[in-house]
Amino acid sequence: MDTSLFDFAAQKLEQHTGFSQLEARGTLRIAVKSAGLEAKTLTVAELGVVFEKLMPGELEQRGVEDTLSVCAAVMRDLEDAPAAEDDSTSNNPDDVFRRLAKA
Amino acid sequence: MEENAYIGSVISGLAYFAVGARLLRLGIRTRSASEWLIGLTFLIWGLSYALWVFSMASQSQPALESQLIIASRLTANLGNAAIAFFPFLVFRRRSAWAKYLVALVVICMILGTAGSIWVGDPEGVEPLANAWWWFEWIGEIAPAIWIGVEGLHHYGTTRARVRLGLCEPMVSHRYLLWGLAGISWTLLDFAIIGQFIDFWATRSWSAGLDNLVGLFEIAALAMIWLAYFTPAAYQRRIAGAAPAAKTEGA
Repeated sequence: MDTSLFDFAAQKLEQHTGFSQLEARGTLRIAVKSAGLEAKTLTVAELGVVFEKLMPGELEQRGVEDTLSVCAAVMRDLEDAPAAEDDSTSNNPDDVFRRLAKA
Repeated sequence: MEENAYIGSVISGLAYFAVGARLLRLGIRTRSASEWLIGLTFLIWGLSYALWVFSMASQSQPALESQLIIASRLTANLGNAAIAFFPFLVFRRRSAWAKYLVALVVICMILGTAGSIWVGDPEGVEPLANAWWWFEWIGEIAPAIWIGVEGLHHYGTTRARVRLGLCEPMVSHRYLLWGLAGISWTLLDFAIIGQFIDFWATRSWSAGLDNLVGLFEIAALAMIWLAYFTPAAYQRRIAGAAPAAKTEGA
């Protein structure tokens, strides 16, 4: 799905924090990377976990107030995210490695 | 390469047959190219080991022994070329460099096999006199290194995902086992070079190097076995080490 979901989330983060585009994308990229995820293959569910568990801390470090509300707002926006290809498909490495032991 | 190699080859052949058959059955069920490919690769390797074992049992008939060794080698090369497609399909399907790497492996295998036959070393026992042997070696070690690096890299990235509940602990651990199998295959390829150089110098197979080859062979097999026939107690242990995440099959 290229980076459209990442772009969408970064744009929403920019709107809700007042960050510049560069700041929003950089902050999101750091959080995504520290979750062991790749921007190119993100799913809505994965982004939800990033905003729930990692982003509050990242935003706090950058002086954002009421980080939980900001993250909740972005998570609500994610429900309207553009239709993304489902990357939890049979070609996802995690899925392949899960299936391999269930022969 | 005497008794230890014989016993090691019997065990390896049986194990690869068992894992290969299981994965091929899974591939039939899921219709996924990844499962098909890895299952078929392990079956081909199992066949190669079987041919090797038969060759050792046919030492009283040198002509038959030689034919079986050549058949075993050709089969192994086919499996070695096939396994290069697995990391490509699973991890780097969209990557251009991965496509070139797979092509390089296949080309090396074809050139190495054809060249060795052309210079009269179809059994592949004269690497110091047969430059084509090294093409096969590169075609063999390249996927092994790739598998090792890819497995360990994905293990590293999934550790963070396990903590967040985005990846099952056993899936993450399976990447580690896969990476360690790749490293064992890599070390095995280096040990084989040592074995051939020693044979060239002494005209006899070193028992120490024979044991080393067997050790790396068994280590790789153990990783593959644990990854695909994971005992319940082992799974519980891995899941217990990652309490934040859900367990496989839960």
